Amino acid sequence: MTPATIESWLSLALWTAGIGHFVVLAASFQIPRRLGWKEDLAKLTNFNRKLMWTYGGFIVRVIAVFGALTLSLHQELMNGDRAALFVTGFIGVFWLARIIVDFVYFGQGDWPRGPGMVVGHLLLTSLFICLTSTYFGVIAWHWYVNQGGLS
Amino acid sequence: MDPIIRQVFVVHSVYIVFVLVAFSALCLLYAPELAGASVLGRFLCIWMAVFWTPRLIVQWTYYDRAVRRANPWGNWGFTAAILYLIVVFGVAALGGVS
Repeated sequence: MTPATIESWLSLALWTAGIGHFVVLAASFQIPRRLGWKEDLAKLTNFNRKLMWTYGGFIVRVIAVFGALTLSLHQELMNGDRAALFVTGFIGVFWLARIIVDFVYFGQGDWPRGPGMVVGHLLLTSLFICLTSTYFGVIAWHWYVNQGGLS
Repeated sequence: MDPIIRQVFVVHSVYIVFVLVAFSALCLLYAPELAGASVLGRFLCIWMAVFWTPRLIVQWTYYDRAVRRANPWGNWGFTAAILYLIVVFGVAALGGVS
C-alpha cells in the first residue's frame, strides 16, 4: 500500500467519521425515551434534574461540533498542523474514553434487556471504535510523515 | 433510580470537565491560532463562544431561582466568568483585535 493510498483511505475515513458523529446523535436522541429518563429523573430534586438535562444537552452539542468540525475542516485535519493535531487527538481520546467507560464502568447487567438494545449497543460500540481508530489513525499518519516516512 | 441513569449522569459530568480542560489547554497552547491565525482557530473560537452562551441563558432562565438567590456570589461569579469567555472568544472569532 503506497502512502498516497493510505492518505486517501484516511481522508475517506475522516469524512465517514464526520457523518458518524451525527449517527451517534441520532442514537442519543432515543436514549431518554428508551432508558425512561422522564420517570427516573422525576425522583431527583428539581435542580439535579435540570443539571442532568443541561449536561446531556452540552454533550450533544459537543458531539455535533465534532461532526461539523470534521466535515467542514477536513483538509485542515488532514494537513495536520499543531492545533489540528491537538483537536484530532482530543476527539480520539474523547471516543476512546467512551469505549473504556462502556467496558469498565457501565455494567452489562445495567443495560435494558431486549435484542434491540443488544444490537444497538453493539453497533454503537463498533462506531465508537471506528471513530477512535480514525482520529488516532490521522495522528499516526502525521507522526509517520514527520518521521520522514515518505522520504 | 436505575443504575444506568446514575452512571450516565456521572459520565456526562466527567466529560464536561474533560471538555473544559481541553478548552483550557487550547487557550494556553494555541493562543495565536485562536486569535485568528488559522481557520481552525476561528472555528474553535466560534465553538467556545457558542458553547458558553447557552450556559449563561440556562443559568438565568432554567436553573432554579431559589438556588441562585441562595448562592448570590456563585451566581454572579459564574455570570461574570461566562460573560468574559463569551466576549473574548466572540471577539477572537470576529477576527481578533489586530
